[in-house]
Amino acid sequence: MYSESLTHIAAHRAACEINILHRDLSPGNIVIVPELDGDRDTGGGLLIDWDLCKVTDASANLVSARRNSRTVSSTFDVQFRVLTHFYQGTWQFMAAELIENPSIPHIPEHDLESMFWVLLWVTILYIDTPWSSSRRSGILDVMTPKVYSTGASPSKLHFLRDSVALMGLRTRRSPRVGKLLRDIHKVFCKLYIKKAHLRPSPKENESSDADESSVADESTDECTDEIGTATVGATQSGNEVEPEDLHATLIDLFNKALKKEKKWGINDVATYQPVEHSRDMESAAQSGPKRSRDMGDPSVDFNSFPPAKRLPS
Amino acid sequence: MTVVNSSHMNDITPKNDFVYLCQPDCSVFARPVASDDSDPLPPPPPITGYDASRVEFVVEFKSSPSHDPFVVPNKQSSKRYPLISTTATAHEVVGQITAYAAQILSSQYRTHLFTILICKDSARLIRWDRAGAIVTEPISYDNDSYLHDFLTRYDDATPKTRGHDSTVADAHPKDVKCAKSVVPELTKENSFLLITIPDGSPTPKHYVVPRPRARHDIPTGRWTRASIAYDVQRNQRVFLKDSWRVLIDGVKPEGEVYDMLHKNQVPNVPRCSLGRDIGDQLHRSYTDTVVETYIGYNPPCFTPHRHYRLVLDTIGEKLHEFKTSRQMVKAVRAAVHGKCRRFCNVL
Repeated sequence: MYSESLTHIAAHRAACEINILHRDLSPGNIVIVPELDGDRDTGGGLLIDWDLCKVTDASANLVSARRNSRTVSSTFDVQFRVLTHFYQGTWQFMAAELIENPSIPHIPEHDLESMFWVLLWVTILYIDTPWSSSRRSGILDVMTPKVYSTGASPSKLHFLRDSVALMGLRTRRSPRVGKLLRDIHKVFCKLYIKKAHLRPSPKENESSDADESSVADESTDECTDEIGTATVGATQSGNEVEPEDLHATLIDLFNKALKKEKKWGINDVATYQPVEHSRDMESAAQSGPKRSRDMGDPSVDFNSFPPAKRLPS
Repeated sequence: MTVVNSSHMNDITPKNDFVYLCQPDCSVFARPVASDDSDPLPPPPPITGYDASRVEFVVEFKSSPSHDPFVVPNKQSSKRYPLISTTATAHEVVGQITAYAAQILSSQYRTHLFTILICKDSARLIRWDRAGAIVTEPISYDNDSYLHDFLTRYDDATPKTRGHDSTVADAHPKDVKCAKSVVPELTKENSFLLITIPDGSPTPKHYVVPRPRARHDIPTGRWTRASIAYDVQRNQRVFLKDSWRVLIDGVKPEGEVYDMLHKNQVPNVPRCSLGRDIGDQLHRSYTDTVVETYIGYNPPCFTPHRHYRLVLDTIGEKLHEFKTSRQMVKAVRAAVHGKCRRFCNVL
């Protein structure tokens, strides 16, 4: 018993000694596997495609490690993002903050935000909801940044700060999916509004991290008041929420959603939900949630799987 | 070499994702090589159309010098101009030759590829690889011998120098039979290749994969080809990823990352059995080096690439092909969970 717990701590410690950012999360990089692989519990999914990940040696003090990583090789980060944008086509899933400001380094929270975009993308395209095709196309339009338009369109960030953006997104066969999405959206909504308000004062940030445990609460009304005054750009220095808290919060939401199996639909198999091409997006712009009216690149085809991803056939 | 006028030939490239036909003016095919192998493969079929998966290189003709899409650099001026002319015709011609190159590079295993562009009296040689393309200054082929030299040397060159991947060969029917019986995904394929990965041991490892698709994409970049493959040694189904990894400080080869993840017992990552750089210096992009020599520094758009192969023993299903939404949400949780463990604090 004693040695077992020692091993456990050793493994745990070992896991903390590396700090790996995947940085290329997309629906193509998460695969479904049987929950048991031999005698190993897989949890039903695997994260693949680590060829653009970044490894930093994190010290025991993760906060300082992360601060350091902010100052290291920002040109490398920008170069990486050039690669990701133009060669991979997976930036529909990139964190809003990174799209807004290409000079800030990639941090663990950005990977977690990508998970939200992945879940949203799969839900919009493969799960039956009462939303019209133009409304769903509107969401995909928000996710697809306008590469060549002049000035970054802030739609993704607005979407996250808009506390009612996912209101009414109900997944009929398995209501838990819609609920989970709305809950995760809430978490990021609070996070981004807070980021916008925080001034880069390290002391204040450390104390504010304690609040994060409560972000999963149901109270979101206060978000709406603040949207108008929220500004981008308070992200230059260490004002991020502790990633441990964000991880724990998200895992908690997933666990809660998955707790009762009987609450989930049986055989609600993936069914492609057609959407409009972005050139037909004018109508979506009128009826969709508040966001940029810049329709940008008309050639984007939302019906296809993100390019450059594996489609073995 | 056999030179064929393919300007009116049908594009018969198998497994072709291109939405339009590629009909280069001239296509060049290799002569059948006498094999001293005791168990020879059947000879290639006769040329009945333009097949990008078999062609050596293509030649495109333009009737006017004004159709040359590239600008002649002014050596006296220190100011640098864009290489590609801004006219509509130039864009069209560049698009055309790029499409030909992309089709050949994707339907074959190639380290690099040459294209010849002839605009009336002058010719340009273009060399494509995963970092970009190198274009020669115009060659006045009536006065200079460069074009002639290129053609004679190409004829003498080994397949490796011509840009063929020496670690890929046609699969032996015996291996194909085994592959089809072990890997259900391969039964619907009809053309197979045998891929070799050295693993440091005296016998390199062999894998049977389907012939690649001609993908409608830009010719540069990592060009990941992922396929469910047959592991000849272990007689099992594996996931083989052939790609050109970027050589940037801080980006580790994927196999090393998996080692690190496994060593640290990070959950929910696949089992990786092999990851290796492939081949010699020809399996490294060259354009970036030339650019650096030519202009003195390397802008980020010419990213060096290195040929790399990775074998995963765990094969998953696509996230958007879930049987139940619960299954899909569980898979995303597993991925978040894997990340969670990585950043937790020491107890």
